[in-house]
Amino acid sequence: MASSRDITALLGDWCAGKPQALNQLVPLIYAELRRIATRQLRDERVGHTLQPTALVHEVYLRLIDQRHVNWQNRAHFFGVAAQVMRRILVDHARRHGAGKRNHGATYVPIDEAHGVAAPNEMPVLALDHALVRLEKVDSELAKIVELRAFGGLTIDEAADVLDVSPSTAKRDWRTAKAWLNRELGRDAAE
Amino acid sequence: MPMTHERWQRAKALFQAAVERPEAERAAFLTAAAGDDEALRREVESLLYSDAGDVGLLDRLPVASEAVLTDHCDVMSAAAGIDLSSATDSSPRSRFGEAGAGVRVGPYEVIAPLGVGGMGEVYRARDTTLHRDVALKVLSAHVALDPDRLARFKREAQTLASLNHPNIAAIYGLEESNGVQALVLELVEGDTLSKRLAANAGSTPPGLPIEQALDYAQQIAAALEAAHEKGITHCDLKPANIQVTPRGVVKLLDFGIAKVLTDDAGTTEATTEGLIAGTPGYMSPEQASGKHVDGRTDIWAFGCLLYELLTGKRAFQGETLSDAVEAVLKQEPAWNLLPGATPRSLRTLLQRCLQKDATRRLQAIADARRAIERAQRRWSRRRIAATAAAALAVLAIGTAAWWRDPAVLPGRSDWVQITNLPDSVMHPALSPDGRMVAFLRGPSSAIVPYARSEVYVKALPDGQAVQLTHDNIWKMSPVFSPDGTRIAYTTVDNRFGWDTWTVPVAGGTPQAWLNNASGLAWAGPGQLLFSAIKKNPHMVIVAAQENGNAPSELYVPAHVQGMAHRSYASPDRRWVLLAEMDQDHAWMPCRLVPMEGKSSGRQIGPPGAGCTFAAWSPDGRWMYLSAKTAGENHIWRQRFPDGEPEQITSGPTQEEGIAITPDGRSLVTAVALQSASLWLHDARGERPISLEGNAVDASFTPDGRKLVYKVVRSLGDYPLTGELRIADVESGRSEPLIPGVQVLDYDISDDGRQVVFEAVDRDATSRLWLAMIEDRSPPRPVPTVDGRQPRFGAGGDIFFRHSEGAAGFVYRVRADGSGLRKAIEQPMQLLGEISRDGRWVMGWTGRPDNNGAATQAFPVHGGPAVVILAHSIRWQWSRSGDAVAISNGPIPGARTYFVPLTAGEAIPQRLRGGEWSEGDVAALPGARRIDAIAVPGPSPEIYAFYRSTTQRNLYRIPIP
Repeated sequence: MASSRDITALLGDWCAGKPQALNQLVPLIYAELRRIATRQLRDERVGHTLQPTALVHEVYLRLIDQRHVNWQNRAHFFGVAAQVMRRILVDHARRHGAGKRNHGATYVPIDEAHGVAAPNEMPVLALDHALVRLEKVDSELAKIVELRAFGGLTIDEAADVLDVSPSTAKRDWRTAKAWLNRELGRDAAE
Repeated sequence: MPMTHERWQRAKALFQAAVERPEAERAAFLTAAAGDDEALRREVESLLYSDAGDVGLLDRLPVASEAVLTDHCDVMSAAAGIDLSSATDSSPRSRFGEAGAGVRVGPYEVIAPLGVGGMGEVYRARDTTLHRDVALKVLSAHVALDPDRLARFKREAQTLASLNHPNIAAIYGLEESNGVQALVLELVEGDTLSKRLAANAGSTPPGLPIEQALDYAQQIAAALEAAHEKGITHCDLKPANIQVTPRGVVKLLDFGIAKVLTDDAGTTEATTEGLIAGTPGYMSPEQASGKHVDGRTDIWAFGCLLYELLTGKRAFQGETLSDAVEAVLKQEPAWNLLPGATPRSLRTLLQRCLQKDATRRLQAIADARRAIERAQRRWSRRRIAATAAAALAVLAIGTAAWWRDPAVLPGRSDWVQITNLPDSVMHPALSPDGRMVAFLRGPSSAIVPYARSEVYVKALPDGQAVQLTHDNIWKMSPVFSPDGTRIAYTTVDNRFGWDTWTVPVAGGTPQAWLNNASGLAWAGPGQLLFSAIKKNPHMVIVAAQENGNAPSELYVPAHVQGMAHRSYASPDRRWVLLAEMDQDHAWMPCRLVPMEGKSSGRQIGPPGAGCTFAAWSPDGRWMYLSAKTAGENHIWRQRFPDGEPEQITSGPTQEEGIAITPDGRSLVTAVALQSASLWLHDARGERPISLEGNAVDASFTPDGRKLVYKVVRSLGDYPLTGELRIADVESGRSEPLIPGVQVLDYDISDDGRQVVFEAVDRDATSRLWLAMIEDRSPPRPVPTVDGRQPRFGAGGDIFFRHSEGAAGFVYRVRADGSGLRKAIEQPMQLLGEISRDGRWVMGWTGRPDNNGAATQAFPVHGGPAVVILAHSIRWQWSRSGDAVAISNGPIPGARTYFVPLTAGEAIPQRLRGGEWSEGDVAALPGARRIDAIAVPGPSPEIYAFYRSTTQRNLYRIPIP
């Protein structure tokens, strides 16, 4: 298995403009996400559910050598991890189809995310489809949603990845939410 | 109006400016800023509305359940560089000593070792509880002693145990006993496919005969399809993992086990233990390069297998990992090795399966299965003839769904189908141990009590049906001998001589046994009951010894024309149930008579019913009856001796014949189902659009280039929910329209861009949804109350039926949920079509004069309804509104008339008022008759129609 230093170097390479480094980075992040997930499940925390955003943070702490990483690299790492997390959730949901939705992923309100097994189904695919459409309308907005929802980035971190000001990120996040909520309907709130 | 980039940027800026303002000021701000750009204002308004809403989806975090993250084939191990060439365990340690015989693991008694695999030893063992042989895989200590891996293994074993498919070796469970962990698996007799291929290697050509290769490939694809449907991938498909039983049934072994046992992080462990994530030569390019793996990896391996079946050679040679990876990534298979007779469609299929780029590969194994099945059909002239013959029996189908009252039937999800033959399977009989079923198989047109048919036998649950007789004469009542080695059955010759023959269960020449003896049954060791003709046609029940000695009349029908056909002794042999015909040879209620004495007993079951078969529960406390009441054949039972008859099956299918399982908990019966395929008629002739599943509710898109239809699992289920498919008329290719969504009813918009459909959500409420036909975005709900039977009407409004108490009314609503109002004042039972001019709503409901119900047309703009006909008919306007298709009800010999309409005329004058006959329709100017239920297309020459047949198959039904 690649060492923390190797991974950090890959991240540095990628941030420095070597796209092929990403190809190596993604499977490593993917494997680590799954490994940590499995361990957490064994501990039977949060009723057999996980918060992908927390997972992403833990992966970061484990994979990246903190001494050799700067703030920008960190944000970029989360950008990649968010994409990987999204792919995991979407791939899973797609394979399991609408008929088996409760084997997929679920949403819980932010406030209840700790210690509560979610009763509501999360339309991962619906979110993904809506994001794909949003990408066509406004790719910046879609990116910020991916970072926030799947990568667990704060507004400030997302602003950094996207190279915009925090106030712009905040406005865009609100706009994206309004757009997506309109697209996705209000069924989850009913 | 499409939102251009520029317009979106404006809307976004306006929204962002507006939300900064207090809510009260926003409207004024927006009006001022948007000016008279109405679309822009509405766009921003909707965003503001959404922003102000309660908790939206994005205020919730995604939470992954464990299934998400333990889902994939483990490919990261390959990525991290496992050496796959060290896949076999070189130092097996037998946990049970040399032979292991006699060791017990829970209820399993080890008989003999079968082999050693990477994960542990495999034994043949006897299940002392269920008296069957199983395969026990005893997990190696590496797995068994690691609680983490064991826990994961158990979870996965549970998932895999849900894979119930005849072509997948079943996982029965996990047994833990004295520190031994063992996986209990179905024991599959026979050879592995690799052995079969090796045995064939010396012959010329080295591959299997094409028909056999297709047969195996079809079974493999069907198994993969079932697994993929459950989200389970095999990831290690190869000839060594595929077993072929002596009867030619293919079974996939080790489903998902490679995946289960490959630890996600412990790559070094995986190596030492010989666990693999693919086998050189069958691994997909993405596996070989350590990328993300999914069901398409199985499709690749399936391609490798099919190639090898046909050629006898591996598609990609390479004994070491590096050789194999090299070949898989860079080389093409030697296509010239394929036999010259290989159909072109198979070559294409192979190439699509063996696409190195997974995104360009065949995406769904179901497509491979269908392609194979098409090739099989073409390959076998005999089968083509059979298909054509079946298609000739045209019955009316499709209207049933439309007009049937939506009564709720008991769930049939627990019915287990045990035969799947295209014609008629009848007269089930179970072997004494319940492991075999015998039955008669005849043509679709067979009537059940006795018919021209052959005797078959099948091992349960999923052995192949084996034909035991080949004489094409009338038969009835097969029954197993008490030792389970023979099947006795009745033959009826053309002089109506009724004799009993026997045939060995294992196959062999049938032997004549008893003349003038029919409906034979054993009544204990050495003791028989049968029917004998006293004086033609007077048929009586006789008890006799097995050698025919000491016959005595047990029951004699009172009328000399009466015929007592079948008899069934109670488990304690003190009573006999019998089925008889009256003097007109109509079936009467079944009868219960004592074994001793000369009492003629009494009738049981529903009064007046025609009772054709009967059975006892093993404890003798229940009598089961196959009885016809009000024209419907269903299963009944009655408590012995004096209970009330109660019906235990109901619904649109017909059930005939009864065999009770030895545990008394379920019964096997023959269930008659109609099946419907959708065909297209155009200038090129007639061709099938959908042969898979049952197609119903077809409708052309307005441009006539696509055909939308619903595929339902069984026409016997109600409500008829199914997936919508959309077929390209030109190419015949079809695909799911709204994948994974079970739809009850739907309609296509006049612009052909969207469908509105009815689907039941989790709280069993019918809701309406909209989906775009082209972009396949996820459906969005029509934000309104619950409703059913949605139709697009004038101005794009959605009309639907909403239940209010016992009645239902037609409402209309705009797609955005606004403008909800009642559209028709009169209550409506079933909502039909809306005329293309938007002026008429067809429906089925009570007549204004309270004189029963009728098909009626309701003017959308108010006014009295026009009665069309007192019967329920199918009424479908063509898409352009220039014709109407009128079909009669769901009866055999359905007919459709295409009637041209003049401009402005949606309902021909002659058909108003409800006083017309079929002849009147036929006489309408330009009327054209189609002998099927037909769906009008873009022109009179193009239409779709249904062909249907009756199938009878055996089902196992739990007894309540």
